[in-house]
Amino acid sequence: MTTAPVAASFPAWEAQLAAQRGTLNQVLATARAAGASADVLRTAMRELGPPVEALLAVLDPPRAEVVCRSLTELVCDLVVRKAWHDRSAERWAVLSVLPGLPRAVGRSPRTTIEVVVLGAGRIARETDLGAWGARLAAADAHLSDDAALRAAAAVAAWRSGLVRVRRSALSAAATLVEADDLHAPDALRVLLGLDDSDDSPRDALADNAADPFSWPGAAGRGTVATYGGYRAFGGPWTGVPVVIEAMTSSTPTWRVLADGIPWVVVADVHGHVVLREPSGALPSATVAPSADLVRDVRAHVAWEDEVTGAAPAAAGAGASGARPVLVSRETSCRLDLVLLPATAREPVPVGGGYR
Amino acid sequence: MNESIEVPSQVGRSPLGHVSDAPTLAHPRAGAPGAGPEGGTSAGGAFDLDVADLFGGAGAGAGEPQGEDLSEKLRQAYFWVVNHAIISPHYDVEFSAGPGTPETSYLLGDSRARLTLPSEQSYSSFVLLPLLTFAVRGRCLLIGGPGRGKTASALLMGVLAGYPVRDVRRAMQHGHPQLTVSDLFGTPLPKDLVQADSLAEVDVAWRSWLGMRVKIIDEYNRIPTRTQSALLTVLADGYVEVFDQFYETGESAWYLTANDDAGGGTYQVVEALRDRIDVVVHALPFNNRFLGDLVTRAEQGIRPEQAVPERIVFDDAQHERLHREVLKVRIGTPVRRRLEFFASQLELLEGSAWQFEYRTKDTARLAGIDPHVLAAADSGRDRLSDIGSQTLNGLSVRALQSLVAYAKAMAYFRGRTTVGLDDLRAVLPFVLHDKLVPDQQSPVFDDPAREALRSDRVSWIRDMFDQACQQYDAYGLDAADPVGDVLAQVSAGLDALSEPEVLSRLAEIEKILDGWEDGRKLHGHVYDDALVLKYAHQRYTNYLSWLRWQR
Repeated sequence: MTTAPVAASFPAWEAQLAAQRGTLNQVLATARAAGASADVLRTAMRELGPPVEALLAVLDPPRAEVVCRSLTELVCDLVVRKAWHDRSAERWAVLSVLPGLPRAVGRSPRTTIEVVVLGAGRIARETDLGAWGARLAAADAHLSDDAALRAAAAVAAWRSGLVRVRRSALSAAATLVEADDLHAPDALRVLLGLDDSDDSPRDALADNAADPFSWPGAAGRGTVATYGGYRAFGGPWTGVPVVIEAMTSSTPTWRVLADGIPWVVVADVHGHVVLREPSGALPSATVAPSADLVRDVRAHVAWEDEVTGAAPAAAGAGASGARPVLVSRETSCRLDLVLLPATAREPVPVGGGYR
Repeated sequence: MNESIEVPSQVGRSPLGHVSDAPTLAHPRAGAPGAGPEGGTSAGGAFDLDVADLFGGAGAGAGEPQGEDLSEKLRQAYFWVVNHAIISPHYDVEFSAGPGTPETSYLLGDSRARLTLPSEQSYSSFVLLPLLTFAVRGRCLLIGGPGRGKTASALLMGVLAGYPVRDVRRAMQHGHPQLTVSDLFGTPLPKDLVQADSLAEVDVAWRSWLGMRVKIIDEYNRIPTRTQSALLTVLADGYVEVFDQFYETGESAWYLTANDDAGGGTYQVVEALRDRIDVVVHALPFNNRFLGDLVTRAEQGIRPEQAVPERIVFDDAQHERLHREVLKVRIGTPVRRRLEFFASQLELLEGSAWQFEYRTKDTARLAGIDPHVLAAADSGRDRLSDIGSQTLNGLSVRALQSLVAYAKAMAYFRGRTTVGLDDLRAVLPFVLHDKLVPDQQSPVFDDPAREALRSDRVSWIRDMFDQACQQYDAYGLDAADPVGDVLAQVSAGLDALSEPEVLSRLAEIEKILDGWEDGRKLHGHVYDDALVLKYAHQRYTNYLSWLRWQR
């Protein structure tokens, strides 16, 4: 078996292929034996040319050898797993993110692959991958070790919409803040997308830890987000959802009933996710939203509709600055996240009602 | 950056955020507290993700052997084998998502053959059972016609244990009529045979396969009877003896293959050897719709066993830990009681003896009498509903041990910490396949609808277990189990019991037996319970004698 031909415009990559011919041929042969399509392998190796060439331009020769072998093994593994195609997040990470991380790749190619490529596959459904990759690339120069890279990946994923990693990302950000590293504040600022005119990263994180909907420049009142939606328009539901109750969690979490099954909405200022509740158990009892809460909500929304359920985030979900309330209404498949002014908190649990 | 590469389209952006609304998590993550909120404002933190889950690192267990989830690794191994190695599109080990989930099934053909579409992840027994054998280091017999992947499956298990393919092939023992004990285990060194003054001085050159964690015997029913007997020792007791020299083989997973398990082959397999086999799996026929895959493999020279991914290979320490973790899986009382109830139905043969304890099929068998003849003369019970009337034997302790081990492995494989009834039900027919002998003359098989069970042993055993569970529920034994209470009292110990208390307990036992005397049929579980009551009665009687002697 011979390695796939590569375009002549990638001399460094071609030189590495020639130098490591025996080793890389064995990697390709193993992939073929495991069921990898020869055509896809050939395409993948060709596509690997530009990113590898970009990396080799800045890496020392000894590191280049390891990086080439690691990337070839990675690509073969992805092809065997049928994860090398146009819609593959892993392929996108290899081709678009890795070239932007020369420092991390040169330092620890395998760890970087694990964090960036395999990580992209794991977070693809719940985050803005493009923003995540751009943040990581911007922070690369400021990250001094593998631990910092992992922490940065988590912080960037949270900032790019992966709300479920919020608690863990805040801890990871704290490790970056505490790191005895001159670059750490810079890394955090680019990861968090803060301008120089914004608060310091430390202050922004502290505020968000106390209030999940707080962020420099974020709206402080009214309808700040809508979640869910009609399935034909990309949402998860065919029927109208009803907010049932808030759940105890450090990140605002609500239980919602839609299409006869329970769902969970997790949200903060950077993103949200709608999940089917694993237990599938319907709530045994519901409580109608209080008249005061409905009145407060009505004062902060632009629509005139019947409120079918409303629940402020539970006490554990911070929100010291404002009261985040998830609201469902009679004629919409979308849920409204309404920030109310901070007052005496509603008793928790507060249930919504469904009819 | 390559500008032509766009962000994958699956990563949509919602108006305010950045997140797709599609549900992502069908099940809670392993280790998540519970299966979700039970009502009210339960913990929503179960939906949190961790840095280590997403990006690896020490917290995720990468490079940290103790932290690696071996049940996940076992499942990965399963899916790799079924997706890449063994073409087995059979999902005969079926699981249901639960009573609330409707099961879809279709009745096809004149025979109204039921095809069920399982609502929960289901598995191919031909791949699953060998893997469970690997986990519990048991003994698996793969049966089926030539060329159905029996040997290939066994070979893969060797590779999963971390041995190079070449070593596994060399270590595989092929049964043939001239196979001797020396061929199988090793030969004494010729020099020692000439010079030694005693057997102790004879060194034996042991065959290397004996020390491997996976042992494969191909076509074991072609091995001569004498060699089979020697094999029995190593299979059952884990040691080999040649010329007074011993070799401890240690715990290992055994895979034996046979084309015919019903007495065919060059030699009849000795019964003791058959009894040592924990589980029997059929190599199901090739589905011809997958001929294209075979063609591709042939064209591309694909050899799956040479491409087993490193991440599904279990090293020695992991194999050891895997077995330990399987053993830690618990069996709850309701599941254990149903197994006890089922097993108790099988041994009773009322007409085989006068002495109560001897009224078993084993008594008849030892006397050379066909249990069926005695069972046919028994008019006390409805033979159609009596599970015991369908078999010619009961279950051995070894069979029950195998059953427990494989049920635990099944639960472990499914990521559970306790064995569910469905786990037990899934493995039961394969464990008891060769251990229960059907009474082919039983009137149960005369029903045209059940006639196929004469040849379909897996369905027959599963059907018997289902019947037993239904009967168990009908008796309401979960709610009221007076014999269980008596046994629990005895198990708690008799120390410091007063004489009045002992007398009260004796009276209670006699009262239960008295209640059974009138009109109640002697079913298998009643027979076992009666013996338990006699045992408890004896314990109390002896204790009472001792109490009175002390005074």
